[in-house]
This record gives sequence, structure tokens and C-alpha cells, in this order.
Amino acid sequence: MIETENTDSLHSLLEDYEKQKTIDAAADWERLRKRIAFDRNKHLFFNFLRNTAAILLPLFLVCQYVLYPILNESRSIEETIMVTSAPGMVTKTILPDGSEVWLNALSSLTYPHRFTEKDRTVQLSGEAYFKVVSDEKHRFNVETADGVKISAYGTEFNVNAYASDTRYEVTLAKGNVEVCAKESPKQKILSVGEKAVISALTGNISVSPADTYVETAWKDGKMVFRREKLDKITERLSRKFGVDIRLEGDRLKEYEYTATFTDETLEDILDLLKRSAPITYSISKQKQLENETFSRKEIIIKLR
Amino acid sequence: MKEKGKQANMKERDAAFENLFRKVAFQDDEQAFKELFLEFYPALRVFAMRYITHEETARDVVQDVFFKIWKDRKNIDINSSFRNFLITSVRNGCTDYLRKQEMENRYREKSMLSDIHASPEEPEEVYTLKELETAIGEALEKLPPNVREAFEMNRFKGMTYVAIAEKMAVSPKTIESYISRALKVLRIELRDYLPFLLLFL
Repeated sequence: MIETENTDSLHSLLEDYEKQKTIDAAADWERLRKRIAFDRNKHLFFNFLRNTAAILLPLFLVCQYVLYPILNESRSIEETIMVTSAPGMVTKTILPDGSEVWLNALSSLTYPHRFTEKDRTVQLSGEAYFKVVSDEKHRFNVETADGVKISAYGTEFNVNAYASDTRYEVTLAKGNVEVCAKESPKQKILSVGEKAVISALTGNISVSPADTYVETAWKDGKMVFRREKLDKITERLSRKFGVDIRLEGDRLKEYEYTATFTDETLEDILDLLKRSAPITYSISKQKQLENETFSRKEIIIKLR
Repeated sequence: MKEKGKQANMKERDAAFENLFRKVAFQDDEQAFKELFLEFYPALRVFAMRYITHEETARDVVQDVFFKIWKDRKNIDINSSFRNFLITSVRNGCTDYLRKQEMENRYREKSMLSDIHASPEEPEEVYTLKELETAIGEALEKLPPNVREAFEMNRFKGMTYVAIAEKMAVSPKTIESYISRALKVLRIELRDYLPFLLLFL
């Protein structure tokens, strides 16, 4: 009995040995190796996907929320902005390229939301002082209603182009600008301290030396007159104070004044004018109009 | 003396396996893993077949064990020896499989699992092909040449006593006595490799 059991266990050991010999370990290793390699590739692939997603997702978000709106914006170049200055006010605005513009009373400036074309072009009606950011590649053009074009790369200049005037003035403070009337090929290049006077009717341009301080003092809230004719002065006053000023008699227009006003009231200024010339003035009350608005104050200046 | 020799030998071999596994775990050494696989795979396949008689299934279980070891190599903590770790892993793999089978075949009152449940902690030994080859080879050396020849023809070539007797030009009775002598010697020589319990009987 013992003998058989021992023999049986010996038999099973020998059987075990023989069975082991029949097993093709090398072939099964190959199977396992392939499985490991596949698993590793699967991991690499998922890691790759995950990393790609990690990179692409923020990129996508940037495109969606930053680039796309910017591109969209640039497409809608039609969008323009108009800045208007009320009577008696100087408005300062900064253009999309960083250029600064001071708008004098009763003036308006139209410019695109973004400068996308080759030239930076703005439309002006009235008076403005431009401090243009230098950009050699993009010309800065100021156009007026009557086709006068002032062109520069980066300078400071004043443009006076009120529609009611029959002549426009461009005064250069720094750098140089080119002035031309649209229809005629005539063009003039201004140097510092020069002023171009353009006739709205003929398009003629005449250049003369100018006092830039006088021309640009308005942006600092001053009114500076140097041997200025009375009709010009009253025009400026009416813009600044939002009143109508009428001169009775042509001779009045010939009076010339030299003065600097800063924060005087209209009455103060009129009194000063009265003191230095034989004139007198009267102020009419505001009248209610039919459409329930009020007329502007009217001031009449006469010879004494 | 002999016992000590075998045990010291086993310890040495186990230390070598653990070194290989350390290479696998720390250096991701696939070549070392291959060595371990080739060493243990046949033994574990045979071991798994004690639980799962279906050959393909047993193969899949052992393959899964090795695959999981490779994947988990960084986290595996070997307590006793790599050999024991393998044995435990394969046994768990087999019982897991059988448990699943049992769930699927609830209607079968008596499953193969009941046998395993009887003695789950039963110490089991697994010897690699090389170890068995060496041990059996050495034991056979102890036999007289003609006894060994008769035994090998019977055992490894599956020849009948009559066929061997004819070939060796002796009577079948002699062959029978050769075989029983060979078994007696092998039983003594290989006693360290035979199940422990039987030595007391």
C-alpha cells in the first residue's frame, strides 16, 4: 500500500516532468510579448490622444473666443465711429492706432472701428488737432467734405475745416504733411510752422508762415487772436459759447484785435471788445419756438 | 546532507529569480522577464492543469498571470519568494476562473471547486523543467546502466515490458524487476521532490 502510494506520487512527478517537456514555452512567450507590445502601443496611443487634446483644446478655445472674434471684427470694416464735439467744448479722442485727436467745438470726426486698409483715413468736419502715431507703412489721411486731403505718416497738425467757411486751414506743428485738393493734382508739402490755406471753391492752396501757438491754442482752452478781424472773432465766439452773433454794418468786420482769452465769460469778452473799439452790443432773450424748443441767444454788435 | 544540498540549491535559484524580477520591476527589463517566463511557464501550465483540465483555458490563465505581473511590476511586493508569488497568482487565477464558471453553472451541484475548497492553504510545490531535469537526471545516474535503459524505454518512450525484453534480449520478468528497482531508487533519490505527506506513510 505504501509502495503504491509512493510510486503514484513518483509517477505524478515524472508525469509532471513529461508534460512540462511538451509545452512550447517559446511560442507562448511570443504570444505574451505581442500582447504586451499591443498594450504598450495602446497606452502610447491614448497618451498621445490625451496630450494632443491637452494642446488642441486651449488652442481651440483661443481660436473660438479670441482669434475668431478678432477676425470677425476685422471683416466688419464698415463699422465706423463718429465723435462730435458740442458748442463750447473740446473733445479728445484716441483713434484705434493710438493717435490722439482734439476736436474743437461743433466739429465731428469719423473713423473706422479698426484701421484695416493700407491707409489710415478719417473724415473731419470742423476743426481738429491731430497728434498722429508714427507708422511708415500706413499713411494717415484726413479728408474734408470738400475733397481736401491732408496726408502724413506721423506728425502733429491742426486742420480747420468748418463747412461754413469758404477756406480751410492746415497748420503744421511738427514733422511734415502733404496737402492736396482732391480734384486737382496740386499738392503742397508743408514744413514746420507753415500754414496752408485752401480755397474751398477753387482748390487753390497757398502756403504762408503761421503762428502755431495761435492756431492750436484752442485745444488748451484758450482763444488767441493776433490781429484778427472782428468777423472771425465773432465766429469763434459763437462756436465757443453757442450763440448767434450778428455784426451790423460792414465796417465792423474790418476791426482787428489782438487778445488772449482763457476762462472769461462771453460778457467779459464783449466788454473787453467794447472797451478797445467804438462798438456796443445787445443781447436778445431766448425765444420759445413753435416746436417748443428755444432759439439760441442772439448778440448784435453795432458801431457806437 | 542531501536534503541540505537541495534546499541550499533551491534558495540560490530563488535568489537568482528574485534578482531577475528586480530587473523587471526597476529597469523594465523585458529580457529578464522573458527568462523568468521561459523558466516557469511550463511548470505553471502543468500546475494550472491540476485545477483546470481544459488546456486552452489553463494556458490563458497562466498567460494572464504573466501579463498582469508585467503590467503591475512596479507595485508588486514579493513576500516570500518569486516562485511562491507565481504559485499563488496562478492558483488565484484558477480559482477566480472556476468561481466564475461556478456562477455560470449554478445548477451543477458538484463543481471542481469543491475539491479546492477542501484545502485551500495546502502547501504546493512547483519545480521548473530544468530543476526536474537535473533532479531526475541525477537520480537516474544512480541506476545501473541496464536498469536505467529499461526504465527510460518504459517510462519516456512508452514501450511495454515485452517490447523492452525483446529489445534487451532478457525475459519480461527481468524487465519487471528492473523497473521496480528503478522506482525504488528514484523514490529515495527524489524524496525531496515528492509530496511531503507521503514520506510519513
